[in-house]
Amino acid sequence: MNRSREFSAAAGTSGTEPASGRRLGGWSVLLGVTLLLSMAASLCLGAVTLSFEELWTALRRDPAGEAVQQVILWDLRLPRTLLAAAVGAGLAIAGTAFQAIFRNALADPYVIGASSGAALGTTLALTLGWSTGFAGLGPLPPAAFLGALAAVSVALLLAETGGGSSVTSLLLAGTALGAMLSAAVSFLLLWRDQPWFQVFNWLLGSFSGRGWSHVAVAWPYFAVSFVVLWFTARPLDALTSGEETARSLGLRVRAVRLLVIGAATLAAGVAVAMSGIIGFVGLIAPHIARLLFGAGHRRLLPASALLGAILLVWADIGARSVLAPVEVPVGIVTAGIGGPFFLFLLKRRGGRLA
Amino acid sequence: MSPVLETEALSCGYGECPVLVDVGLQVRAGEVLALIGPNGSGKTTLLHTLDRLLRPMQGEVRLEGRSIWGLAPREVARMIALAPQRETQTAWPLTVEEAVALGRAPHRGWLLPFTQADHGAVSLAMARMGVESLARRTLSTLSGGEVRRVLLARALAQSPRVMLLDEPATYLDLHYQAELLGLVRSLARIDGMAVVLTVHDLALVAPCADRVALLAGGRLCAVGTPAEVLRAEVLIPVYGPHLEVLIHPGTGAPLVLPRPPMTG
Amino acid sequence: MLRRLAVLAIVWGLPASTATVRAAESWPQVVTDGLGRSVRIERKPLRVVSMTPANTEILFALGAGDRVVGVTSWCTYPEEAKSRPKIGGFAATTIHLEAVVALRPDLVIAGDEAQSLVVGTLAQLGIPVLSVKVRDFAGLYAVIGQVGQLVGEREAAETLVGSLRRRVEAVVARSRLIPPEKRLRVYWEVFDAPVMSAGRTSMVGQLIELAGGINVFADVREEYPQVNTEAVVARNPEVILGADMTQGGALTVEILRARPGWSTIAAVREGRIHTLPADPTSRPGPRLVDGLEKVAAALYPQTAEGAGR
Repeated sequence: MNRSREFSAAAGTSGTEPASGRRLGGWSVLLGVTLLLSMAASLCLGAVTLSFEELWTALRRDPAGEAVQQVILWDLRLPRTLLAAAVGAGLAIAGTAFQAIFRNALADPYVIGASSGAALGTTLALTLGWSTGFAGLGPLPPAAFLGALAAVSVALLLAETGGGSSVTSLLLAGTALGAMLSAAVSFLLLWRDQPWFQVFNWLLGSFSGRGWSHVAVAWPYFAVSFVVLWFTARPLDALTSGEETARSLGLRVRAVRLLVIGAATLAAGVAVAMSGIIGFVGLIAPHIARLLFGAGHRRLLPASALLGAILLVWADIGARSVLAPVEVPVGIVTAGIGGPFFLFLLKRRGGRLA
Repeated sequence: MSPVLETEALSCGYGECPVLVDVGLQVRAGEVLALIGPNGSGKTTLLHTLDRLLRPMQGEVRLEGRSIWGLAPREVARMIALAPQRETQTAWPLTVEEAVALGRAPHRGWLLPFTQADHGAVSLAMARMGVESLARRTLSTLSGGEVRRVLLARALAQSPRVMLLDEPATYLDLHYQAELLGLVRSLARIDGMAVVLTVHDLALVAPCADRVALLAGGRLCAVGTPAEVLRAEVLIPVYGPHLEVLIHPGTGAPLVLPRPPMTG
Repeated sequence: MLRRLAVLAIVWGLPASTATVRAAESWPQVVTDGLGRSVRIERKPLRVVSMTPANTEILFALGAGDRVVGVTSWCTYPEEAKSRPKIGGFAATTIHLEAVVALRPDLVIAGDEAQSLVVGTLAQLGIPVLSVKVRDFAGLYAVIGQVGQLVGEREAAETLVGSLRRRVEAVVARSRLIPPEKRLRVYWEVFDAPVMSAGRTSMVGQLIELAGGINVFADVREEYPQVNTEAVVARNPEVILGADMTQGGALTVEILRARPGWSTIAAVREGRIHTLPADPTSRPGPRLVDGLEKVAAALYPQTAEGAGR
């Protein structure tokens, strides 16, 4: 061992700050700018195309501009774009958290039943004709949200009583529960002979008709979830190194796991309540973020959130513009991106996922 | 001097049956204790029990006189560090620096950003294990020996009072094995840690251990200095007849070598 | 002399009258149905099962209602139809094949491809099935004619088709009188979540065009597309129509105004929002013409005559 090396290192001349800190600053600015540009594009494109000038005029509510453009911009596109960005970020950050908890790069925010629970909640609301809404949003968002939370809670309980607190038993419980809930949804739809397109549209995800009330209701939940998960960055690093390692470092693994699952499910539940089940964003964004930034969660969580927002904003642009004026459910667009992405991973990374 | 870490009538294991029964050990600051024994004798199980990862079935483990299960996990982690045999998960692309930095969590906590001092400890640990040139590499791209050294560096970064090393010499090249023996000694002598390491290769015991504990048949068979424990009459009942104990001509330390059965 | 004339009259008259009788009821009858299948009826059917509400209405309108022995649970018109035995719902998955077979029908009148599975099975069991597909009014007339032919009510069918035709032509004639610049832009909302409208190939889209309106989504070929709300706002319809079914939210000014961006739409500003009875505007049966008249009355009340129902 080189004693002189020891001394110089101890003197703190090298490595006193991780070199990656500088890299983070540059990249996060780049991602932030990309998000802003994407949102601007979202405001310009759609059934009615605005030029940058028209966008600027309409944003300032200039009376000289066209009233219809202002209405479309302020009442329809702006809240929709903001919601798409928030939902994309929420799904991405939830996906990142779940992938760390399960140490599985194929985990997504719905892996322990959030989507099946939300689907059942929505289907019950539709077939039983519930009418009580929440904050002017109608009965579907609260039904979906509560369904998601209930399903995850049941999965956690099943895992505890069934196989102990390992993540494998949680995955098993979530999969079993998801299957049962999906069967219940199908049964309900057949039994009541309901218009299937209603549930399908919701199952495939859509931002159609979402307005400021959606944004107003959703943002506090997202904010809480993001803040809590940001603080779990280091514990997540420890968890991805293995449960024994984490415990050896003094981490209360069970408590942290519950906290992370709770915060991630909060984000996923609100996302699903606002816009239906949108797949792949929560799976792809963490992957891309890890490819670019590595696995350290202090960088990964915000990077993943920004990437998820960018991804979903563009998917929504696609959903609105590809077959205008017909609107494609945004979940179809994200699936269209997701499939090729995994093929790409297969080819380039030789099967390695993380 | 009172022991830093001790066990009393300890029985430990997984599931229903204990792997080890009635183990009483003591380790003092500045002392190196080597745990030896055949495969399956419970060396790793004992280390995990000492690190508060496994609950004792009977008896207790005491850290500076206090039962470790009466302490918070983080408090124990500040004082005891474990360098495991292998990491369960190296597929996740954590960099070497990030992995080693995790060792500061018990001190700095899980929420606050690291200080200058923390970063300094991390760099020092990496330098001591010779992995500072690998700082930005991800674990999945390293060789087995390099990963070993990273895990050791993390344990070092924890600045513990007790260092538990699970077969630290596996996968290491001869050069690094020698460095490791020197490291173990300096941890005890210079840093004043109590070091417990499990050893598979008996040749490594004498150069670094002050005391040796032999585990076999679910019990603590023998405990004492290397000269006392590494004797044919002690080892043959445990390992079988095909070994011989030689005395190193230079140091006078006992050397255990396998002796192939006679042919012809 | 008189007696000879009477005998001659009888002798000449008899074959003539029997000839007319034979012409009205000549079996077997063979038609090609909406799925391209050849359907053959050996004798006049006395037990008919209907698998769609529209077909039930056609059967009753032709005077064959007393021979209808099985209907779907959605067959609500006319009143007598409600009391007939039920064979299930509308979709292929909810029709009870056993119930159909137990009724021993001579003829089953089914819907289009959506029920093709059931149709295939019934045909294999040897039960004659007429599959009906109505895309436009011409198709409706043809179907009424086919059904009339197969149940032995050809005359009634011809009369019915004639009267329907005349009413439709009346509406079209009135709508032709409206100058192009006064034709109203119409948005028909099928559903609110997701927002769904009617394209040009849908029956409702055709009703709007025939009544003299301009369907704002006439550029979309799909029957019931999910459309972008921005497109509705941008296309600024002057009248908003919808069906008053329990599906979807009610179509009132307050509700539409509450939707983000909709308060600027001309129809919402002026309160020109009408809900029309659902069945006449969607069922491809004789009441479709009622639906057409109602649409015309809603769009241009001043030109619709009081004859509209």
